Amino acid sequence: MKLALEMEHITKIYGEVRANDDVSIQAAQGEVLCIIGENGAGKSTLMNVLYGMTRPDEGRILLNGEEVSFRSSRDAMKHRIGMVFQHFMLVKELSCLENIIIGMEPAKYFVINKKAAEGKILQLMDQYGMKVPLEKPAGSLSVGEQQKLEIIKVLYRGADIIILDEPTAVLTPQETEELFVNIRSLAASGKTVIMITHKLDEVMRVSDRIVVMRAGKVVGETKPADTDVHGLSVAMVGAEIPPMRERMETRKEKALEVRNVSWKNEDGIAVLDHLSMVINKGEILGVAGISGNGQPEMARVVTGLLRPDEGEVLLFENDITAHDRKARIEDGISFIPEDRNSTGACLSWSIEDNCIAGYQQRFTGKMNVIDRGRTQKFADELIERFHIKTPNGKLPISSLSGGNCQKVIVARETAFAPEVVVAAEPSRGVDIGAISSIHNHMIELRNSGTAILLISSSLDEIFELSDRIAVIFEGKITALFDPKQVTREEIGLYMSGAKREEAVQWERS
Amino acid sequence: MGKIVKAAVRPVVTILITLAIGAVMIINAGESPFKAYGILFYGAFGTLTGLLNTLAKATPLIFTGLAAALADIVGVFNIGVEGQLYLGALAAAVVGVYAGGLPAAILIPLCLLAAMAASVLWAMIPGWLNHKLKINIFIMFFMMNNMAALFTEYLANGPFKGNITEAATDRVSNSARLYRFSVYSDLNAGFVIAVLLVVVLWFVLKKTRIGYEWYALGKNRTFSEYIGLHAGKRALLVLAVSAMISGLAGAEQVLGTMGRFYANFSNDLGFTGISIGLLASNNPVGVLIFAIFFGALNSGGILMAAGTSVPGDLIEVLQSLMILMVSADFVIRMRKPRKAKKEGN
Repeated sequence: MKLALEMEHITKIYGEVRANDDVSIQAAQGEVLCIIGENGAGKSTLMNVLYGMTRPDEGRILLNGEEVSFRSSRDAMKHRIGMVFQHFMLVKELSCLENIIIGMEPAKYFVINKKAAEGKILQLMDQYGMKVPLEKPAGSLSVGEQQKLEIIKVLYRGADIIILDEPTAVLTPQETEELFVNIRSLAASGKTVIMITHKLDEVMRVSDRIVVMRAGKVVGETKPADTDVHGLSVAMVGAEIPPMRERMETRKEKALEVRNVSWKNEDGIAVLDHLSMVINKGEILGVAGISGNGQPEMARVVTGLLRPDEGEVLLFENDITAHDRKARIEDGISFIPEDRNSTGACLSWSIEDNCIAGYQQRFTGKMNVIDRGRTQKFADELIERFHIKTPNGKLPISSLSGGNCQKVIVARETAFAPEVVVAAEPSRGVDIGAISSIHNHMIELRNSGTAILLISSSLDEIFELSDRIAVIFEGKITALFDPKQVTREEIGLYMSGAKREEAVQWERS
Repeated sequence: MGKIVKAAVRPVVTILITLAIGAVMIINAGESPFKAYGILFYGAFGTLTGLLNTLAKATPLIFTGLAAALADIVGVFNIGVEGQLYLGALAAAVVGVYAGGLPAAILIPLCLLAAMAASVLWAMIPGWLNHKLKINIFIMFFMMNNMAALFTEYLANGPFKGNITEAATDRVSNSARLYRFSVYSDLNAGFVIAVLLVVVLWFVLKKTRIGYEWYALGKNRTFSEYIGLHAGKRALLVLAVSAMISGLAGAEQVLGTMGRFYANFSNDLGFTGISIGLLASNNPVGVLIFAIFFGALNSGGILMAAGTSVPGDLIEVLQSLMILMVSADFVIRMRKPRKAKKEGN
């Protein structure tokens, strides 16, 4: 097969970090290449180099055997390289057609010839079996359709090499399937697809070849036929992952109940719509859903950060709806928020100060003086127990990697024997080693009787941890499953709203 | 110790650059900068009266500096210190005049309380409008500074006008006057109150849970709510404390220094305080040091103007330069976070 792309000896240094260290990859025409690696492994840097967004310190790029050099992504586009970002770059108010042609409208005397564009786009959509409603505004499309729109946009610009950055992160299982069909048909017609991801089972299904990166270097190259998910994860992490902790039988007693909670946002949209749920002691309730269906608001209602317009929150049968955040902390409701950088931690503070955040009252003596001896001891304990990689707790928390920072938050939120833990996206942007340690810790908590509300956009995580799985759709719980008796596809149907139960049975399960 | 050195680098450099630019101007005036600065320093610290004057000039700046710093810590840029100071000063004067029959032990606390109450009420107008209606607090503070100056001028010229040609109240009763340490200087018990306030605020900010929570509020509002604060209400409370301190600045000027309220007396004490807060990176001890530095420029400047051919206006130029540099530094710091985008996969 003809090599479409060669990147040779790419080195990119940021400060003291070698984000890419002598990285070489090739991709053939009609090939699907997956680049996998943990956060900070250098995947994005490599793609930024390829897409002309940063210039490498060393190394060269060859397209079809010819050396090229990009000053900007515009240059890269001219050389038929296109990229679909994780966060879509669409103008929501413009129609799909306008979004596709934006920046390269076929025009004569300042009049855009939409007809000509439409013909070309229809032909593209036909050729690759991707359909989007061209006249509708982009904002009205589902996330899966928006992604298709992005891919068509890239094709319209004539891309032969298409980079997809974490394309499945926001998709339902069904949409993911559809994307993979599209990727295969792109490859079949001679396009080169480069996909960045860390979801290993997807890699196994869609790729022709896999490049594994770790700490800025390529550490392995393989084909799906020659490896398995376990092998890939070991290659990615560079070490064996400890096995999952065992689940103990726990007594079923109602811990937290949410009854008919509704909340409208400033625009009058019902973000939470008569949402109800029950979590028992010693149980992990996983809530699956596509982002934008009220997950953050649900977490905020339970943790006391959001006062619902109607409905109640009960803890051990006591109505705690009126309790503010401070009171809920005292009630034993702790919160691992989905956004650790803006909510869960104060980045300019030390690790030690972050370790007591929310529990600062527990470390004060006379006249509200914070007992620095105790806070230091406490921080050191957490650092040791969770293997947080840092020389000491006095350093700013921003000096930690994402995984270690998340470990600080998880450690803090579980340190004071909470009754309920709300864990929103506990493993987002965290490397595999840290995920495994966080997951094991959550199982341990569950075994000791804590009720855990797990809100995650990762079905892998939901299936791995949950005792029961609920699906949230448009601010309402629309289904409840036993993870052993349901498939991902079935859950996907509820996540997308194709199926829903009107009254979910919470008692007896 | 290392922390103190690190915190001191920025302000010390600011001062050195300011003095260097000033030196150019002194040379331009045909004098030796060493001689001029020498006289300046001698005038400010070399004699007892000079020292007392330095501290007297520093006193209102300690108050206004603390007021600005405290509000800035919780993320409210209290540019309204100046206006709050006027209200506080007038309230202290009015009580000191019209309740003059009371003994000092009651009258002085009463005057101080009135000053604090008036400043808080004044500051709560924009504070509350901002809290409830999200009206820009910065613009409201700014406009209300002018309103405060004009409003108090009107009151001092109208209902509370004293038996004096200028727009001013009568002299406050003697039992309302703060104790003076020397007949040759304005230095009074207000300085002691200011220093006590420095100590108390330093303790609260650096050692207690309250300080911990205030810093959280200023660093990151979402985070502060997450750890259990009512961010909006708490910010309003701290603004009230800040306004109280501004009010004390005005009270000190009336009860300690001037003896009565004069319209438009402040000459930017509030704005200078804001600069001092920024120079000191909102650290109370830093505020004390910089307020004394500014006080020294003012008190030593008089001797420098008399003893050399350098005009006394140089002092104002130096202060303006310093404020200019602080604001430049402030703008740079505000812009930085946007640039520092994190690398991530």
